[in-house]
Amino acid sequence: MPHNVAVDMGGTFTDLIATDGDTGLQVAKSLTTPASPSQGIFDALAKAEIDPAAIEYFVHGTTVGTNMLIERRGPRIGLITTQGFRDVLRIQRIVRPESFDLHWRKPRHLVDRALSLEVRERIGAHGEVVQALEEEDVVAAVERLRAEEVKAIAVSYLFSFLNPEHERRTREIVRELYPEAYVSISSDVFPQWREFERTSTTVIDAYLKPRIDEYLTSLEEELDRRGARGLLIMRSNGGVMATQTAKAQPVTMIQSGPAGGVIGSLQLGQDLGLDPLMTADIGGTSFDACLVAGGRAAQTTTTELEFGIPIATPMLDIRSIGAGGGSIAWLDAAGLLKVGPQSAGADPGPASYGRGGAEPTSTDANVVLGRLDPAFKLGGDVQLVPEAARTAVERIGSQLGFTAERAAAGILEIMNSNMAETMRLLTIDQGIDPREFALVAFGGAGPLHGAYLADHLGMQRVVVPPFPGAFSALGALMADTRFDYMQTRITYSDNIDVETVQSDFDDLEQRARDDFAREGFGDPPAMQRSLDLRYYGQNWELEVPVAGGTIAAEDIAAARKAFDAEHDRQFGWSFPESAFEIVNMRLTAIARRREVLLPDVPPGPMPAPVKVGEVYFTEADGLLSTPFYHRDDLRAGNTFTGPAMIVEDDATAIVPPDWSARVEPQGSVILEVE
Amino acid sequence: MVQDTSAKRSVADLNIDDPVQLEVTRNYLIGTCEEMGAAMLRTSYSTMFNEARDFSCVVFDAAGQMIAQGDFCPAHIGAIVHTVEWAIKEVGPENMHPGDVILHNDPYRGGCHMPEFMTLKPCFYNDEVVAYAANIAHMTDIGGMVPAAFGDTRNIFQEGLRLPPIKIYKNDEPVEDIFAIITSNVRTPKVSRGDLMAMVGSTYLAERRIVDLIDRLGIDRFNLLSEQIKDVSEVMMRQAIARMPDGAYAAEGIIEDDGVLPDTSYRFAAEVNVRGDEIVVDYTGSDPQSAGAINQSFGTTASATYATIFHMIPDDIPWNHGAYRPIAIVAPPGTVVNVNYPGSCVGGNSDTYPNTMDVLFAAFSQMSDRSQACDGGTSGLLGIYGTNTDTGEPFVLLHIEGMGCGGRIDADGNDAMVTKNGNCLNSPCEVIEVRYPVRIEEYSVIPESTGPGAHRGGFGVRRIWRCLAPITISAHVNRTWFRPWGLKGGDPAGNAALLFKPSGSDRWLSAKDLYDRISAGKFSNVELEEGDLIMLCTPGGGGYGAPHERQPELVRQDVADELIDAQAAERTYGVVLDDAGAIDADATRRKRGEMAHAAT
Repeated sequence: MPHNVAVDMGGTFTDLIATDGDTGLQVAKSLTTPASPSQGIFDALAKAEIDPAAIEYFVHGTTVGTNMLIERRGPRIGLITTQGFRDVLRIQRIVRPESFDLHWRKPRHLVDRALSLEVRERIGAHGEVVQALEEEDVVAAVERLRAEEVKAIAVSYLFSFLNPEHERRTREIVRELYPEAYVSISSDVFPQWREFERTSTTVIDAYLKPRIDEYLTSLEEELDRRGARGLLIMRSNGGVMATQTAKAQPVTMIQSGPAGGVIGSLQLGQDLGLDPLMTADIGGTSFDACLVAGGRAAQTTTTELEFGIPIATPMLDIRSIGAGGGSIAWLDAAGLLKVGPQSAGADPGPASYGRGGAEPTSTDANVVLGRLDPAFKLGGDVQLVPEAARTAVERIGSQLGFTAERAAAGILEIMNSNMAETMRLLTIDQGIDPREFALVAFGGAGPLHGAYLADHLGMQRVVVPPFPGAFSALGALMADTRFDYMQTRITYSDNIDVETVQSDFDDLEQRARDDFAREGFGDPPAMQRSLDLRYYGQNWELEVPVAGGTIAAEDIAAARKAFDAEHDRQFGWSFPESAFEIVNMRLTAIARRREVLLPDVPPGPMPAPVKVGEVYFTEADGLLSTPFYHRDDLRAGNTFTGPAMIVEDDATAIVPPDWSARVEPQGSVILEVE
Repeated sequence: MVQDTSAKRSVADLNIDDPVQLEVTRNYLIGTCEEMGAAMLRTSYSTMFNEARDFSCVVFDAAGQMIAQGDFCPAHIGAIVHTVEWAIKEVGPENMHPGDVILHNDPYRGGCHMPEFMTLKPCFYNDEVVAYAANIAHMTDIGGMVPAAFGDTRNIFQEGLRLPPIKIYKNDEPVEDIFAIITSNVRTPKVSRGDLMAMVGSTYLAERRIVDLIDRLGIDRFNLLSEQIKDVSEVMMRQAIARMPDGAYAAEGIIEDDGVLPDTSYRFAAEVNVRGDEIVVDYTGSDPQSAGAINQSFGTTASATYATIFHMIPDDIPWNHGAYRPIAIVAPPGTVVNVNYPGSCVGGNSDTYPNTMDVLFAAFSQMSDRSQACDGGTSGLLGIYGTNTDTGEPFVLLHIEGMGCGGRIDADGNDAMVTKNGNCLNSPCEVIEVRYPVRIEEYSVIPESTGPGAHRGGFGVRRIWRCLAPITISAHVNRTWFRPWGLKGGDPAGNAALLFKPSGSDRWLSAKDLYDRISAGKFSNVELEEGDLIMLCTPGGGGYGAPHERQPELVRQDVADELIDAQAAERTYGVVLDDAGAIDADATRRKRGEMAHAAT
């Protein structure tokens, strides 16, 4: 049978999930091999005993680019910019990460100042040419960069998002004079206002290009040699793209790591009829949360490599903090308990891994409380050592005057509160009360924390998806091909010209048709237009949908009405009589790649627990006799009340007292407050 | 100083029965402040709010003491303590009702300066005030004689609209009469109304959060935890201060010009007294208050004091009322550090405050390596007023510029940073040009502005503006002739400059020379025509340690980055480079030997 495969390559592990549409899902894990990244992929395939020649659909998410950025292992590159503005990357936005820190050092950007060259040209604030491009300056700049043997050149001119002609001409000159160099122009990479963020992103795109091209080309060749087909790359917006697109726009894959889990949750929510959702992806070191409402995952365009080096590209709005199974508990200067963001990582890992870790972690706390049972190996590999966990937790507990159990419960309570505050902030940004959400809890540690996170936020329902430890990879299999386009054109309401709006959308839609044709789609994608509107004088926009087809003045008026209503819903007030502005025109184009069906779980009677253990629950202030069920034994329709534990190879779920669990036909377990 | 007998010195004495609940509650309250900030960011109108983020959010307990703040603008950190306390006392909790919101901006009532509007919501639980949610935010225009307020004002009445603590919401309804007074007295009424709505909305959000929390904890537990949260911070602060060497550390600096009297300067004197686990900062000896806007209100002086001390403390302390308790401030009334009514003080909070911090850093440098050389020390404030070409409505742009930071023991000063009293973003050139009839022709760093040193100061910036329509410009810029000092043998940095080149002219001249103003840096309402150019250069930071002790590799890097040339490398730093740009070790050793010899 032909296989559908998703491979999620992280910093430490490479996760694989495969389905042949017939015999259910298979998961495998291998070590990531930074020296020769594709090796880890083939190791995982070998572990899963999948013949590459049987692969016809292959979704790949990778941190190759992200790691290269973090470690600054990329090539020497150059920047060509508008005269008077080469220091934009040095000036940044003039702020520091914390208010009271004398010792922060502003980071150097990825391009040297001496290789940032200015040319005479200027586009004005209405897209008009104020000064024509002096081609002799461009020629001189390219000659200089060629002499310096840069591998890639970024081009970023002021207001190129309104008029890209100078940047495009510059790219032509680069290609003519220095065809070996990769080139990225800002009006392609991120055609939006704010020169620092746009320039920074363009430089990062150029920095990534040579290596990403090299990596993907060699992966393609290798897969090709082994007969595998259908390679697609996961992108930060939750969609997939062809390798050709990834090589041309590498910055669009930079935040793709946690995207798969959100896409999987979106799909799960639709299957289960749950909306809005919050996702909680808890691994060893990091906690990632995203919000799904109205059938859409929250999107943003802002992240950063580090403070002062922004990356602006369409991406899922996933918020991360350092919290996970490896998070270390410690005492602050006042002697009070804190958890994270430091993590014991995978090596040495939590004390209970028995690999020399001595610091108490949240995994150790769960072991002490009897929630992680050494009878079940973590991730199928790690044999837990409960004595080591207890020693580590006891040590910090004794400093607090606590029993090991109380210290362990405290560690988890604090970690949960750290995560809950992050999630609450997300709901504020969307103007939705957190109590309305269902929580989808995944990642190796997600199901251990899901019900307690929900409790912190007043949520009533938690979904534990099938294969929670590999759910990100599973979600990647469900991803559509997706492109997000945007054109900034700030227009005062009295000056809106319907024909200009139409022609901007026509341009975006043409780009979408071209991109999807290149991606191999015969039919044009489904397209959804929207406008970013704000009241005149306001500095923040809301996105509202606008009709497709030929745009009439009434469509703009309808969008404005929708904007008033949304403003009122989110913020409690609106100014329906006020003038307004269009800021951006947006287009999202989506085409379905593949229907991945989760294997059905047949109905059946309630299984016997694999064991009954003593588990500590804070709410009971002591140990409760708790049944442990193996997930593979559960059948659709099984319903039971807490306390209970659900164990499987890569995760353990807690059903606390006062919660109940129900098994859905496609394998999700839904926890609800009684 | 009389040691405070109620002082909390050890966590063991606090009888904390549930440290986990304490941590979770503290997280929750800080999270509440951050949510208020997120809500304001999302809902506000002006660029000062959501491009520059010049606002802060706090929660106070029923006793009127701060229990949480988010990491927002340091300009407010001291003043918000005093301004909230003042408003609670003046209005009186007994006169507050559910659905009330109080507005306040009076610098003589604990405030910092008038553009900072504070909204305060008493939070009710079972008809009793159990907490207060408040925020403070910079309103771009508040009426008065200068658009955006910063210029050469001579008294409070010229600065704009002054509001003692008054209710702008009653019974959950806006008091429209108050809104009408405000919107009739400012140049951008719609922006002011939108921003006030955002401020009020965020206090409502906080009230809901606090009620949720008390629903869980019960009111007695909430009150107890509030006390513990403050006490823990007090203990941490005292322990941190106790690690500082006892002593009296004095320093002084000056503020040049007040825009009103020609060629003036004002002395700012501070003595930092560390005794045991307490600090008294005494500003006695500072000059009498000036006739212009450079004066600091007490709230501003308190902010500058707290902000510097918080910088000097390495510990991660939750900044609430407890952290302030071990700090006392002596600021004689009627001086530049505690202005008396009706003295002008709008520049004090934005442009004098960094100078006060520099003075305190100089004092702390006598006992700590954590300190630094003098920053560029000006916010480079420009107030630009004109008519929007789209709408025909007046606009006001308050522009903040970055400057160079002072060198540090372990690193160069950062380039192009907002002063330490703020953490406000600059406005992107593209945002400025879309909104206002100007074009930015250059935005660059000025390498010559640095103070050379073993760790040199950061660079100031140069921005050149072209007027595309007639505009009116006002300014409050410091250090046009007083240079930021170096430390431990480091050199002083370059000055600020604010110059003009009228259309058709080929010379850059100051407002003093060109428009007959008293000061080149502080003036109001200069009218410019289409085609006129403005150039603002901000100072760099002072150097730390002698330049000839700078690591040769750092000098080589600066040359490679085209920040200095090979001649300057040799002349200033004694580093000799060969033709390929590599360090000539022997020649460098010889050159540096000569420099060290000349220095002794």
